[in-house]
Parts: sequence; C-alpha cells; structure tokens
Amino acid sequence: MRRRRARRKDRGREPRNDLMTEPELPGTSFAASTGEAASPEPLQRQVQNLRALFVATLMALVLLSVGVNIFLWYQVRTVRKELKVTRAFIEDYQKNKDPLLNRLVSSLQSFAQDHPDLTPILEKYGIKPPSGQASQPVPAPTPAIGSTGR
Amino acid sequence: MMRKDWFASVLVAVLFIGAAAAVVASFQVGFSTRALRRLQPQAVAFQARLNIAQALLNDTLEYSKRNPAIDPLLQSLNLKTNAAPAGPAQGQGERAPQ
Repeated sequence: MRRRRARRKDRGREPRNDLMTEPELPGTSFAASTGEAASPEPLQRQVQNLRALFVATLMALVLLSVGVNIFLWYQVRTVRKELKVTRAFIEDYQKNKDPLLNRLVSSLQSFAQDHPDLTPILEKYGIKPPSGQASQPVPAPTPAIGSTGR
Repeated sequence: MMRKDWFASVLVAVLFIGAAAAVVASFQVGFSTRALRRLQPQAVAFQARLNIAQALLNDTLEYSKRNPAIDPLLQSLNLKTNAAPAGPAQGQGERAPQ
C-alpha cells in the first residue's frame, strides 16, 4: 500500500506530456503572452517586427495597385480611341459614302438600260439592271452590293 | 512609433484610393469594350461594302476607257475628273469613293 501511494505521488510530480494543451513553441505559450514569464522587451520587438511587416505588405500592395491602375488606364485609353475611330467611320459612311454609293449604283443601272454592255459588270456585283422602263423607280441598290460580294 | 502609425495610415489611404480608381477604370473598360463590340460588326459590314464599291468603280473606270459615254455620269459623281487625258496619265483623274 505504501509503495502504491508513493508511486501515485511520483506520478503527480512528473511533468505531464499533453500534446493538446501544451504549445510546441515555448515562446508562444499563454504565460509568455500575458507577460508573467517573458520580459516586455521581446514582446515590444515582436510588435515592431509585425508593424514593419504590415507596412512592408502595405507598400507592396500600393505598388501592385499602381501597376494595375496604370494597365487599366492604358486599356481605357486604347479602347476609347478605337471606339472613337469606329464611330467616326460609321458616321462618315452613313453621312457621305452611303448616299454616294446609292447614287452611283442607281446611275449605273440607268446607264445600263441604254448600254447593255455594262450589264455584265453590274451583274458581277449582284446589281440587277432595272427590269422596267427608265422612268420607274430604281430598287434599293445598296443591299445588293453587300449581299453577294466578289 | 507615432510616425510609423501615420505612415501606415497614409499607405492604407493610398491603397483605398488605388482600389477605387481600379474599380472605376474596370467599369470604363467594360462599358467601352461592350460598345466597341456592338459597333464593330457594323463597321466591318460597311468596310466590306466599300471594298465592293471600290471594285465596282474600278471596273466602271475600266469600262469608261472603252465607252467614254459613261464619263459624264462619273464626273457628275466626282468620281472622275474631266481633265483626264488618254495615255500614260490614265487613272490619275480617277477618284476612289473612300
């Protein structure tokens, strides 16, 4: 009985090896963080290190943000320029080129009535010579231009 | 210590401003690209029409060498000048519609 009691006492004195409650790193124990065991100097140093790391990360993010912004504004400028050119082309076509093409085609159709040797050229581009007399209105010629192609 | 806090605050502010600018730029790229995508098929179709019209005009100008009766028609459309002499200067008085 005495031996058993002595063994139980010895077991109580032995340091327990509990992996779930004890941290692996000695510096990160709860006692150290509360300042009971550790001096304030390493803590202050850790805070300073963390602050320096935070500032460095912020600077890296700011640099990344500047790069992304430069790329995006370059893209904005390029796309806007392209859009402006495309809009100007479409506007110019609708205002100037399309009426001119319509007049050209209708004039050629009228001319082909008196000069049948022009008809093969018109047919090559899908423009049908007007079937009626010259006084009849000319069918819309512009769609025929784009409808067949060469 | 206070100086470092101030510096970090400035960095955070710059980061927020940069993020906001990136969001604005992204929206602008998106809207402009969508508008361009909507207009580009139209522009391609018009360009194809112009190419065909240019080919038709070339053939008509070639035809006008055989039959000068078409010259007044082309001159009325300003597609051919009336001062085009025959010979080596052929084609100089021709104008393309583009």
